[in-house]
Amino acid sequence: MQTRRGILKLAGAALAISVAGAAAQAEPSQQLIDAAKAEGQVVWYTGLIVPQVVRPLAEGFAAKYGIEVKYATTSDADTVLKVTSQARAGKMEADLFDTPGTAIPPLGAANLIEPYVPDALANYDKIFKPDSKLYSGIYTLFLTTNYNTDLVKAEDAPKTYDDLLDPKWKGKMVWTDTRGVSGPAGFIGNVLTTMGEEKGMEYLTRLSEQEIARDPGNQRVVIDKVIAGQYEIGLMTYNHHAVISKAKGAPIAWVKMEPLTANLGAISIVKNAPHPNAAKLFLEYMFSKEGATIIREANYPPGHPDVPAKEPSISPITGNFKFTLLAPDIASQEADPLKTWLKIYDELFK
Amino acid sequence: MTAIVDGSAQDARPPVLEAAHRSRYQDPLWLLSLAMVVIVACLVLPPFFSLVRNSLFELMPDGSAGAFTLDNFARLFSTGQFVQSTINSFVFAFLSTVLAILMGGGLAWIVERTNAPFRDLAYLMTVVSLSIPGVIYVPAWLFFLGPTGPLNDLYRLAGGDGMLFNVSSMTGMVIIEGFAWIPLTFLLFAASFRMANAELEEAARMSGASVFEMMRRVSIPLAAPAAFAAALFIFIRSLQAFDIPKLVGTGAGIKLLTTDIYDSIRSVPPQIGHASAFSVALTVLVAGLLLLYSRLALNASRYATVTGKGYRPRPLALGWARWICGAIVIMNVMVVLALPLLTLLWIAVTPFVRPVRLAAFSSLTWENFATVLSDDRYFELITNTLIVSASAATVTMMLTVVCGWLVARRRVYHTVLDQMIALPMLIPSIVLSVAMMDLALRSPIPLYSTLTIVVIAFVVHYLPFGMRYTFTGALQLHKELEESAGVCGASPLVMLRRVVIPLLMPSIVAGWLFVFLNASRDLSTAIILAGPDTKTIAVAIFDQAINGQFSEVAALGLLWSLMMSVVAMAFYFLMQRRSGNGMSF
Repeated sequence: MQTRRGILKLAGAALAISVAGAAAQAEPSQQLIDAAKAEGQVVWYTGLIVPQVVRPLAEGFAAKYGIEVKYATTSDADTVLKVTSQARAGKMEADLFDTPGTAIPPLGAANLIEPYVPDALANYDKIFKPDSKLYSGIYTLFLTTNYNTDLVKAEDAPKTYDDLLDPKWKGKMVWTDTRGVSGPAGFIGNVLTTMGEEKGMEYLTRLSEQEIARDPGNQRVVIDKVIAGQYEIGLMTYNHHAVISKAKGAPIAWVKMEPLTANLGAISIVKNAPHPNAAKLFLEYMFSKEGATIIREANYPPGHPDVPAKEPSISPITGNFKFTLLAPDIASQEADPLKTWLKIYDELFK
Repeated sequence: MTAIVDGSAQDARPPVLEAAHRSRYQDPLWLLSLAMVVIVACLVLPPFFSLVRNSLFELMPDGSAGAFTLDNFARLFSTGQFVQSTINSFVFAFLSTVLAILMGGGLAWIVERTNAPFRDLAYLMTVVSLSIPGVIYVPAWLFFLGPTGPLNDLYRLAGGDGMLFNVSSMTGMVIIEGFAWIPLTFLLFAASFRMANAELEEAARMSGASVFEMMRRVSIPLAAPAAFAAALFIFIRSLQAFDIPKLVGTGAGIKLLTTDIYDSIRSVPPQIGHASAFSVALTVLVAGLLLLYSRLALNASRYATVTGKGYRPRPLALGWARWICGAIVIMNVMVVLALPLLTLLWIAVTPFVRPVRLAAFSSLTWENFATVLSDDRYFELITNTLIVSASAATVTMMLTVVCGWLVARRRVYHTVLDQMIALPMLIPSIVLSVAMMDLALRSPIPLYSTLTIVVIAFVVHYLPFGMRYTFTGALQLHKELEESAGVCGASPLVMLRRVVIPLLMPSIVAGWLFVFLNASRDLSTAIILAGPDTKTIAVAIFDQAINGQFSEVAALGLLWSLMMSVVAMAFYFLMQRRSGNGMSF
């Protein structure tokens, strides 16, 4: 878990070193660059937005080092299927894969991830570089409550978790049916972590009486339904989605319901990757200030301490909010704690 | 019939009477039959074995098969409310099939056999609708019928309170699933009505039967074998449907047999075993239905209506009723095309999803279309998609025209052939893709991440669909045409090439187009099998669907549908020009 204080301290440190830091941050070693160039290309399985993130990074990397980045759009389920099958056949195609977390535990358990910490992560917060070295965090995204501003006045909108128990919201709230930490199970985990086991369960039992609608779509679909007025309140939706839609005139606002739930976008190198050095060099590039700027332009809050989020309010540093991080390490559907949280979800909310 | 036999020609042209009694291996086509059996077996059996294996063995963390287990089957029955889910599944599949046949079958009869107005719209509707990707089709209906959609909006505007129609219900599920099957039902029935001999209907009319009596006693029984095959086909596919039951039914808490499977194939790692066990159980269940079907089709030659005589049916003059039929055509066009497309257009031009309001018109924007059009990576994706879809359609139809005819003529091995071709119907596309991925990785020839493996997967997946077209068409060709070719000295292969294939051309073309359009919008197969260099348009749609706003997905989907419709219609136009006026579409 990570709180505002930790991040703030870090931000201060980062500011202090930012001038010198930029220069101090070493370029990748010539040895790595040469080895990467000899490999000529890198293959990346990605779930990120291609036109906004993947292609600009690929083009920037190719321009800088002359190494081609080949990418394929995959979901976490596809990534796991493909990487395990390729490993079994001894024909590895992938060098890198990114994931909102869920793919890390199964591929870690199958020993198919090459541990690596890019040098470029040196100044990043420790949440972006776990001890296991199994992944590097690209950015944190924050899940929270939002409401339709045409249907709910700002002063009436729920501000705290307890406000959600108000009978007037009964049947008017929706969340996604996603079975990961970015779904109801993450909400449950956040509540149990924050309130403690006993009080948390009591709260969840009362919340389950509010008849929250379950939507089979993802968080974006849920927020669209709130915007369309089908529901008044959406739970567990991304705050940056609300900001993007609001800018287009949509009647939506997000609530700083603390602590927010955070999940990490992560990237890993595949074990026995065909282009391991190019993969490492790509990570150095991705986490450099140049790479982080591309991520920022795509409206994600980058983890780079010197690159602030494009929209300051969605980042805990500039937006000033507390959050609970549900890291990829606990994102396995088949292991605790997520397994237990899913069980609670199935029993209480179905 | 007499055959003039001289010694030198005897081997090449056995007398017709003797031919009727010849044993299996003297069938002049046994080699062709065997070749077909081998080809189809190579395509169909590996994924089917993989299905059975996945259902019976534990999945290890590295994706390999572990110990033998019956857990996957046990889990099917232990998902709580098993009986209720089963009942729901059957009700859902049955009603969807009935709806699709009433609408699509009725439309086919009107279009092919009557002089009703607006008939030309039907094929246009079908081609365009088959190019709309499912990933945008279902949400379009959900929005249209949903609580904030135009239907309920109009109702409230008219003074109603609450909702006129709740889409999160069994009715909603059946409507969306049933509508989705109208184009296929229409094509299958149209192929059969087009070939039906109008003389029988005319004779009925001349004997004083009313139009309805004629339909009841002549048209419907004549179409029965094709209708039953089509019905069974749609029933099985609806029984297996994952997406619509999940996307529509979740809100209402309606559970079908496939609801849990949807979750399990989307979990990480995907629980392929669970989905496989369901398919295996379904295979056993459906085997009974298929047996029933093959018994019914035993006397299929009774239904042969395309004989040596002129057979082009003349349209039935309907009188005042033609306007009713015209209205039915329009209604089909509305539900299959106009409503979903207009809904999608609304979603695509609004900056964010919102109800249809006058106030919203001021904020309409082409921004979503501009975003899609300014992206230059589509050229590669479009080229790949067209290559894959056209190859898959061509190979599928080449195989199924021969197989369809062999099975319809009950040649050697026809039972084996027929059953093997039906198998892929029971393999969920994710299981098929996983099996194909395994095969490609193990293959000594480099197949993994190539377009070839995607084509092979599509061929396997669409074999049963192609077969529906060619088998039904071949059933209606009377043997006398082939026999006279034989008498005139044509070898079986020449006869196949010069008599059967030309006569089946309408079915072949319709089937080709169906496979082509469906392959081009297929998401799951393409996503799993595509490599970094073999991306298809499905990948771009998928990328938008998981990351973007629905407005952008709708814009991309609409542009794609537009392009595919143009491609498909251009293709048809060319085919029509080449074959003269003889081919009706």
